[in-house]
Amino acid sequence: MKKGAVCALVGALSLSLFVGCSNEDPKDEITIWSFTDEGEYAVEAFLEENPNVKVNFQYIPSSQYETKLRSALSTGIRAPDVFALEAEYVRKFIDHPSLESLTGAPYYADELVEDHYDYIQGIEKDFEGDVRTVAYQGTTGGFYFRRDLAEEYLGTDDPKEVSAMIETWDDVFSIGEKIYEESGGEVRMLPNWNSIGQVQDAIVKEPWVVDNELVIDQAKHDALDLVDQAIETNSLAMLEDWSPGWSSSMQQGSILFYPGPSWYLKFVLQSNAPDTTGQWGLASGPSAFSGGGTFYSVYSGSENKELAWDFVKYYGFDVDFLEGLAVEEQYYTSNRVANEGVADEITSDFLAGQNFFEFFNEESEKVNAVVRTSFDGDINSIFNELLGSYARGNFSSKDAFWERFKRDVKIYFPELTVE
Amino acid sequence: MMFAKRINKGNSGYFFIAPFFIVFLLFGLYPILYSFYLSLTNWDGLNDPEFIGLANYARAVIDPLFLQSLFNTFFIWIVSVVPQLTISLVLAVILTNKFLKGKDFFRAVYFFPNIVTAASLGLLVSLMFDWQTGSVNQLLMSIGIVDNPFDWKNNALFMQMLVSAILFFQYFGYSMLIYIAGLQGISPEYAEAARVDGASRVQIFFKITVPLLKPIILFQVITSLIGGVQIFDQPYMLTAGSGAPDHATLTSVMYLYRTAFEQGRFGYGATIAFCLFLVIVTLSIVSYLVSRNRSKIS
Repeated sequence: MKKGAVCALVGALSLSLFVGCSNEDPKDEITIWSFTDEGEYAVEAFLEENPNVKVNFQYIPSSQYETKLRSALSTGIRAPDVFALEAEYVRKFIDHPSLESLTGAPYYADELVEDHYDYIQGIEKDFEGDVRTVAYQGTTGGFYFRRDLAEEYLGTDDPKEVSAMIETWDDVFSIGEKIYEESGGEVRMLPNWNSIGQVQDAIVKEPWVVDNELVIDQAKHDALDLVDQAIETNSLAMLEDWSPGWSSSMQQGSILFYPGPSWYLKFVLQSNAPDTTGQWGLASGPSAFSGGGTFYSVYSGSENKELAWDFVKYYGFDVDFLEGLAVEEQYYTSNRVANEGVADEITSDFLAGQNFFEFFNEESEKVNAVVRTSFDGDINSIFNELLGSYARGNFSSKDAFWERFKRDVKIYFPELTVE
Repeated sequence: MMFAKRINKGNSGYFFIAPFFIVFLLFGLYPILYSFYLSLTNWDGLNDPEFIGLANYARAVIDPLFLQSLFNTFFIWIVSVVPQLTISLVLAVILTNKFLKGKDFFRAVYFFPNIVTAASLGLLVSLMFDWQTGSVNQLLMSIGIVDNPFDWKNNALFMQMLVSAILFFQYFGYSMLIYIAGLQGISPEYAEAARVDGASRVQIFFKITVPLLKPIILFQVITSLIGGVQIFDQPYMLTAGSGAPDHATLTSVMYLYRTAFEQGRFGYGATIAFCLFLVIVTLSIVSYLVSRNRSKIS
C-alpha cells in the first residue's frame, strides 16, 4: 500500500513535469539579464512586434551582476539567453566561448555593425575581430556648460562660439584662471581631475597592456601635467564625482563646464538640477571622448539563440525602434542611421532648445577607436584613484606617482611585465 | 547511573541531529574546503581553474598591499577596542548601581547605535566629513575655527581613527550589555564586605570588580578580535570602496572583495580569505586554550 502510494506520487510528479514541458514551446521564450532597467523599454517594444513571444527580463543590481553572470556562464546552470555587459568589464568577457560569435551566418552582425560608430565597433568585437556583443547606446561625450555663467564670463552662450573658445587645454585653463579671479573664487571651470582624466583616456593610442607588458601612453603622462596646470590656474572645484557637493553644484551654478557622455544629460544633469531647464548648453572640448555604455550578448549555450539574436538585433540595429527610442526618450543611440534620421527633430528644452543629436553625430565620428584589453578597466581604476591623490598633493613628484602606479599594477597583476 | 539506563540509545537520535550536520556540511565545511582548493588555483570565475599549487600563498606573504591591509585592520581594531571596552565597562558599572534612576532608558540609548547597520553609519559619517559640503566643516567654519574646509579624507591617520570611532560608536553599547550581564553575576556581598572594611569605590572597582570580570573581559577581547578581522562595511562606505587615502583604510576583507569580486581574481581572493580564516581559527584556538586553562585553575 505504502509502495503503491509512493509510486503514484512519483508518477504524478513525472507526468506533471512532462506536461509542463510539452505545453510551452521553448523557442518562444527567452530570459534576459541586465544590470540596468533601461532594457524594459526595449522589451515592451519588442513584445508589441512579437506578441507570441515571452520575455523574462531580469534586472540584477550592478553590485551582484558580474559575479552572478560569471557563475551562470561558466557552469551553464540557469544561464540567460541574452545578457548585458558594461563597457568597463566587457573586455573581461568578450573572448569567452559563452558569448556567441555573431559574425557571419546566420547572424551577419559584422555587416550590421557598420552602422555603429567606429569607437563602439572597437568594443563590440573580440580580439579576432568577431562581433560578440552589440551596443544600443551611443556614449559620446561633450562639455555641458551653464549658459548663465558662459554669458557672464565668456560673453556668449552660443555652443559653437563656446566650443571655439575651448579647443585646447591651454584655452580651458586660461579661461579657468579668468573666471576664478573674476568671480572671487566662487566659480570654477571644471568639477575635478576626472574631467581631464576621462578626456585623456579617450585619446590614448594603445591600451594599457600590449603583449603582456604595461604600456603608459603619452596621453596618460600628459594627464598629470594637465592636472598640475589645472590646479595652478584654480580651474578645479575639487568636488569628487557623485559626491553630494558635486551633485548640488549643478543646481547652484558654481561650475562652468561638466565634461560628460550623452547619458549625462538625462541621468546626471536633469536629475541633479531639475530647476535649471534652459540654462545649459553643450560644447565640444579639446578632444572627443566617450564614457561607459551597455552592450548585449547572446549566450552560446542558449537553446533559443534565434529568438535571443532577434532581440539583440532589434535593440542594436532596428532603425525604426531606435528612432522611436531617440525621440520618445531623448536617448542617443549607437546607430548612425537612426541618429541621423531623427537629428533634425530632436532638441532639448533642458539645453535651451539646442539640437544635441546633431552635436553628438559630429562628435561621434571623432572619437578614437581603441581596442582595449581585459586589464584596461582595472588599471584605469588604479590610475584614476592615484590621479585623485596626485591632484590632492599627495605625491612629491611625477616620478613618485609613476613608481606607486607601477607598484600597484604589479601587485594586482603579477603576470604582467612592468618596466 | 539509574538515569542513564532510561536513555534510549537507538539510532533515531541521529535523524534529529542530521539537519544541522547536513546544513553545516553543505554551507559550512564544503565552502571552506572548496575555497581552499580555489586558493591553490588561478581562476577568473569564467574559465576553468588552473592549479598553481602554493603560488598564491607565496604571493600573499610578500604582497605589500595585503600586509598593509592586515596592519590597517589590526590598527583600526586596537584603536577602537581599547576605548570601547574601557568606556563600556565604566558605563556598565554606573548603570548597575541600584540607586541610579532611569537605568533602563540609558541602557537602551547606548545600545541603539548597534541596531543601525554598519553601512548606514559609514555613509552617514562619509557625508558628515565631506570636504566641501560636510556638516563638520560647515560647523567649524560657521563658528570661525577654520577659514577653509579641511580635506579630512586626505589624512590617512584621521581616516583610520574615524573608522575606529565608527566601530566604537556601534559596539560600545553591545559591550556594555555583556558587562552588565557579567556584573550582575558578581555577588554584592564582596563589595559590601570591602565597604565595611573601609574600601573606597575606586578600590572596590579595581581590586574586586575588575578581577572578577576578567573572564568576561577576555571573552569581549577575543570575540571583538574575531569580528575586527572582518571589518568591511564601515571603511567601504566611508571611502566609496577605495580605501582612501593611499590604502590607509583598506582592510583585509576589502582587499579580498576588490581582488575577487571587482577584478575577478577568485583564486587569489580565496587565498586571502583562507589566510584570514587561519587567523580567525588561530584566535579561536587561543581563546579555547585560555578558557580551558582558566577552568582548570578554578
